[in-house]
Amino acid sequence: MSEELVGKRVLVVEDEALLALEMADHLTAAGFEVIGPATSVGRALKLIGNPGCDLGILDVNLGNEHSEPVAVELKARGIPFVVVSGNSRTHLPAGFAGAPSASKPLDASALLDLLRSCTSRSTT
Amino acid sequence: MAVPMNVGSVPLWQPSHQYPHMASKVPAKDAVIEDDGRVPIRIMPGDGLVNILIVDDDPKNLTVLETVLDDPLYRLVRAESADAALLALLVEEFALLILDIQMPGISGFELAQMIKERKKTSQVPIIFLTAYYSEDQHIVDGYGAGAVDYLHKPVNPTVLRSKVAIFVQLHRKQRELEASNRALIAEVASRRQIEEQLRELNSTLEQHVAERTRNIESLLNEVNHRSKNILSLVMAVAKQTAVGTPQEFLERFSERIKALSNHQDLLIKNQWQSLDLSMLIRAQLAHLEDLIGRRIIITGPPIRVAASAAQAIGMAVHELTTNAVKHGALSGHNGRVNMGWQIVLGEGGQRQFVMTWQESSGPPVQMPSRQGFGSKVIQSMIELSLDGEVRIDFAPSGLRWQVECPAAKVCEADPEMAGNQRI
Repeated sequence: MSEELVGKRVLVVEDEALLALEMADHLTAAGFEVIGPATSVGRALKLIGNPGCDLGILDVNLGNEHSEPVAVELKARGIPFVVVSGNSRTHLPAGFAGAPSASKPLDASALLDLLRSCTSRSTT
Repeated sequence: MAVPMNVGSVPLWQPSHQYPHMASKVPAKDAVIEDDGRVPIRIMPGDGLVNILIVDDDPKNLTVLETVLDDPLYRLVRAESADAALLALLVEEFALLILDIQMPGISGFELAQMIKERKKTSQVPIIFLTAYYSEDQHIVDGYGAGAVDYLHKPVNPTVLRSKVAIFVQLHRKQRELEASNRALIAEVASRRQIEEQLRELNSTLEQHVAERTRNIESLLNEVNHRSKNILSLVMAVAKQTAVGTPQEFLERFSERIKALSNHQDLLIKNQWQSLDLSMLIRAQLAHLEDLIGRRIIITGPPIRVAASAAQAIGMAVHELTTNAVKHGALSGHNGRVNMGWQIVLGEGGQRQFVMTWQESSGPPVQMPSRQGFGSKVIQSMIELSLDGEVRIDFAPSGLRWQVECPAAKVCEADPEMAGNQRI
């Protein structure tokens, strides 16, 4: 784990609670501070406002809603994020364009790699 | 007997011994023939008869022509002047004209010219009959006027008959060609119409196929999304089921996957819509069915649980049940479980869903030594899924587990959710 990621606040947006918790466990173990997890768009937007975050992990489908508004908000604030989806990349809505993405199921190391790629993109 | 007949000084017919019937009286006309000097009303013989217009200023000659050309397939129309001939040509179609050249007023040549100039009649063949105009120049004049043949009086009846027969045959062939041409045109038109209909049907079909394909694609996307989620869930369950020996792991893992699978069946059965809560609970208690109503008491109003909440509740019930069977009230012979739920009004007047699991009369309860997968499911997973609060009490008399969350998180499209008043 690269030094500059340690202590970063990562917003986890995932509606499958067990997956969200597992992800949170991995992130905590890797040295991140987990914000959320949020299982809905409304909750995620609130968390972006307060306490805020440095990074985002977004599941695309949140039950009956899409996390696209969250992606738009993160983009507007210049906060890098990665996309995790059950669907293949071609089905991602426009709001997610440009973000690194991965398909489920995703293991811990792949998730961390994805986060690293998103921060390196944001710094270049 | 053949009787030569004279027109002026020249006999119209040469004697012919081969055709003795010609001497007989003019045969009775076919019923369709209205040869009373007036123009017949019928435009075309509908019975296969061929119209032949015979034009001569001498009625006797016309009668002779009728005799010579007597044939059940011919219908002879008489005209004693050019005017009468023109009138007949106006209303009827003729296969052939037999025309006397020498007529008072408009001559046969002039009449032929007028006939050839009219578009409608220009194609009608003409046989000129004459006694006097035998010079070459007249023959040329005749052909110049559009005649097809030119016969001198006296005319040999056999020759005339055979010439007429040829023209009639020509006329028939032409009619047949026209008919088959019309049929062909109709055929082409009908094929075009059928092709057009086929094109329309095809395009409708293509639209349907495209629509179905879109539906299937979206369904496949949905299935893909859900199966990926399930696989992720299985992966998470496998990782979190980190207990004891491989044998123990396999046992616990299989149970949990089986529970997920049962739940999936239930969801599919309900077409991924809401589920009845008691049905959802019973699906997780299927292996303890004989205890339900005796040691496992389930009470609560009918509630339909949204598909999204159903999985979390199902998993929690599974973990609670497994724990009760292994360590809790269902591990002995006397312990009981009371499970119940209700909708209550919270402090802010909002509708809250409360579900309780209460064990009693079982072995003394001990605090679990570590936080395993089960703990995670019944506590943090439920809290996160239902946006609620879980309270777990490890009282010695029996485990008590309770979740309270907004009713909207559990109940599908709760109609009483909005504007609920506090009591």
